[in-house]
Amino acid sequence: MSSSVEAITVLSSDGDEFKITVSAAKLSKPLNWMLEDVCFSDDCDEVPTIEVNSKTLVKVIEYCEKHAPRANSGASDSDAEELKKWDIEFMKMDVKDILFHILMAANYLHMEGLYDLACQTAADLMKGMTVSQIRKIFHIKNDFSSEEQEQLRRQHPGCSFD
Amino acid sequence: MEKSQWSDLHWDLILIITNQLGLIDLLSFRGVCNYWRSAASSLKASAEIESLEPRPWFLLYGETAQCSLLTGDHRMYRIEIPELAESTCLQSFVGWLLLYGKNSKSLAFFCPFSGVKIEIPPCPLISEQSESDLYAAFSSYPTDLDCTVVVVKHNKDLKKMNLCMLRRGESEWTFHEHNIDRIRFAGKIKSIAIYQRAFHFLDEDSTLVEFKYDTMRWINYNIVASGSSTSAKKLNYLALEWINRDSFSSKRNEMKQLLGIDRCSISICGAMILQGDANHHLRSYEFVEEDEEESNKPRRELKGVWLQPRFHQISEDQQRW
Repeated sequence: MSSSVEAITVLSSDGDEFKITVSAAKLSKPLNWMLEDVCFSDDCDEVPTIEVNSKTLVKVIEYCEKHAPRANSGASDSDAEELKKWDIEFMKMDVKDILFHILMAANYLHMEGLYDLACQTAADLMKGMTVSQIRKIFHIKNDFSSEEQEQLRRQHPGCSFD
Repeated sequence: MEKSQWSDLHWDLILIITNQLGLIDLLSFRGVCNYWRSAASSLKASAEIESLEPRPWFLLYGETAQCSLLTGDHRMYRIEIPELAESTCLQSFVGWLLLYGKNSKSLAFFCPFSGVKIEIPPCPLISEQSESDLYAAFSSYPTDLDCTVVVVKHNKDLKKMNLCMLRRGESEWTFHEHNIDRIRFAGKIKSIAIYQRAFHFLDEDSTLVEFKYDTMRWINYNIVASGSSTSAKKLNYLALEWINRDSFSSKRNEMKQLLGIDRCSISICGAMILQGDANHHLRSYEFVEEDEEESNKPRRELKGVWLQPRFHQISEDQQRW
């Protein structure tokens, strides 16, 4: 296969096929290595598998495709501003099902920008929330004993734990 | 409920997330589940991000363990801090309070949010002393190896400033006195600043007495308007201007309303507020008298302190100096 390919095909951990453009794949080191393997090996029939589920991989590829032009060529301030807005919209996702997997995928795929964005999103989701609201957003069970709960209540000014 | 993956996040992630949380949000984070709480403790998440916030918080205490906390953006919380029921705060710096225990007559560093305390050896200057003439300051985080604390006894009848100093790791306080008869240091100490390994004692007028704690040298200064003298030394903190503009007294009605108090007197402890790269500023010691009207209501004597909200944690070997 020649190096002029524009997109490669990858498999998700669920076995679904996805296409990702070469420039977008460059946002991730592991993807980039895969890309080089695919482009320069003689055995080009093999489709590499990425250990990320389909639902998450769709989002990761969407992010890569959007960020690729800027990452590869630099961009003006207005583009950066537009991209920031896009990121905020992009991150409006189900916290339990997707955000966590995005974090894991960004880590696994060495995508610093996406990792930071997902961490920021998680932190922002907690800001100004009560303890019970945070538990609800992140689906976390209260595992404190009633004594511990009482101690926390005293230490935490004015926060509702109910 | 199905176990969420969020409840056992990798610590790297918890570190990144907690680094972005201010104090109230950090307290909420710690209240979510055991795992998050112990991770935040082990990572010593301290809400440092809040130090970038220019407006200090105000803590009102003094009657019982029930205290009122006013955040920089004017949210009011009730908080129970038993240690403050029996104590007076002498200084506030980098999220630590220096407390004087009325019954124990001892000094200790205290973080009001985590509840951790660092006891320091008794200061000989305060044994017989009424607390109204007591001032104190410390040079850095009490957990720093070279942290130095000073206690100063001063009132307007004294022609001397008496100072006791203790460095971390030492067991004996050392005495140092300074003759202030000639420099007309007006009445009370208004503020204390920490500046380039020295303590600065400022009076209500424009006199500044410097004590360098490495060389134990005293120097007197007059404070002049910026630019009025080419030989003047420039400081990295804002003193008098700021005192006048941002004191409790200058906005007492607003502050009293926000705190939900009326007929009372409040004695307020000084603080030095660090502001990253910007000029630091001082909050002065103040005594806010009760209002004259409504004399039929019972009178309350309260205390207050400005503070930078931090959640400090220490290891076991740091509980004592």
